[in-house]
Amino acid sequence: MKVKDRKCYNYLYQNYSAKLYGIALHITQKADIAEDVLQETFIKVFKYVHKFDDSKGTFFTWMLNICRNGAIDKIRYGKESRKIQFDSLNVDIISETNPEIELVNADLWNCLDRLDKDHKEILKLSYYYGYSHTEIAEKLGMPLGSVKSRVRIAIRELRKIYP
Amino acid sequence: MNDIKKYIESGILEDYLTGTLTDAERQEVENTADKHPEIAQELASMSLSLSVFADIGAAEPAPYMESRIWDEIQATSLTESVQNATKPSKLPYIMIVAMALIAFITIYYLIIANQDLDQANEKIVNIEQANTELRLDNDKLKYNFDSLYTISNIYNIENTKIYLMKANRRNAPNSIVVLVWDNSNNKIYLDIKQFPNSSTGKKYFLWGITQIGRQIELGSFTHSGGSQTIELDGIRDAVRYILTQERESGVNYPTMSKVYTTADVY
Repeated sequence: MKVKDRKCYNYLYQNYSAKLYGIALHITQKADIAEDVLQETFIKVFKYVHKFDDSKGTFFTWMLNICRNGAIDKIRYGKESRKIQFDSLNVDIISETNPEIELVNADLWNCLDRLDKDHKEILKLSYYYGYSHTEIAEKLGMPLGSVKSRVRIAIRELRKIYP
Repeated sequence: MNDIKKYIESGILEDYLTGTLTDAERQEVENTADKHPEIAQELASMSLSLSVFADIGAAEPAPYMESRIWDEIQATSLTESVQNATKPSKLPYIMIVAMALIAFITIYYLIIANQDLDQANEKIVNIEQANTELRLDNDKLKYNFDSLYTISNIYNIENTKIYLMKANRRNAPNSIVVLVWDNSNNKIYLDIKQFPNSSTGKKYFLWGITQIGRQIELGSFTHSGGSQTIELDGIRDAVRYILTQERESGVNYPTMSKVYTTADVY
């Protein structure tokens, strides 16, 4: 697949930029940082497209992993850090200051209503917001092993819903 | 197969997908997935399920992002092209290193060779010097041998006694005088090889000293360089011969301060 082409770029951007930006936005909690992550994601995709192996997944999941890892790196190793609003974990919307996030969160959790509440919550923190298992364990007062096992079970449950 | 199943159920794939692994651990998972298609398939399936979060959490980026990202991609590609174009090839570098290495080795061996050459030259000079000394010694030996050979041919060796006269260190330190006494005819032959020239108004006198101390003049001669053989009358009871330089008219007794050579008879 030759992607160094404006038409290819247009196709990828129109179909995936919103999903990638949404993930980056939820993890970083800041629009400007999410924009940087989105930009860096596309640059990496174009740079390393030759390394993509379709036997390991779809092109989108490959892009998604690049985006997620980039966003997590930003908040873990970058200058920007975020404050976890754990007090609001029981509500669906973590960020009360970003209306854009509030909007997409409502749709998200409605779709995931079929998941057990604990599983939904742990996936929300772990995958959607990109918190480390250690961070979750500390803030929720759970053993690290319990967090890990709950993440695994939650993903398996999710696969039953979205195989 | 059991190992693969254990690996999948270990939870490391979930850790990988949720981004909790270090870069090294992440790379290890990817390498394992490369080797085992079952693990790669499991990873792909889980990724697909989790991508639902992206579907339902989509958020439109700002309108300017599309052109901004494209411009950045173009700029990055251009920068990489320039960097690749301006990046010096390794080949000239390798050649420079190789040439430098060759030059170094060459210089090193030239220095070593030069040192060897200097040593060889020094040895040659020493050998030439030794050779010259040997040649001089050889010439001297040959000269002496020729003289002795001549003497031995002239005289009957069986009836003669040959003495190399001792040089007086003060008067004639480098003199070489051979005294031959032929008892068949009681003649003395002085074979003079190297001896000081006679002073003006002076002559050399050979004296025979007997056992009781008598000093008998045996004859005189002058010397003006080169070699010569002097024939003189001998005496049978001499125990010592001395060669002195005296006034031309002669003296009754030898002047002991003017002794040039001596020979003890045995």
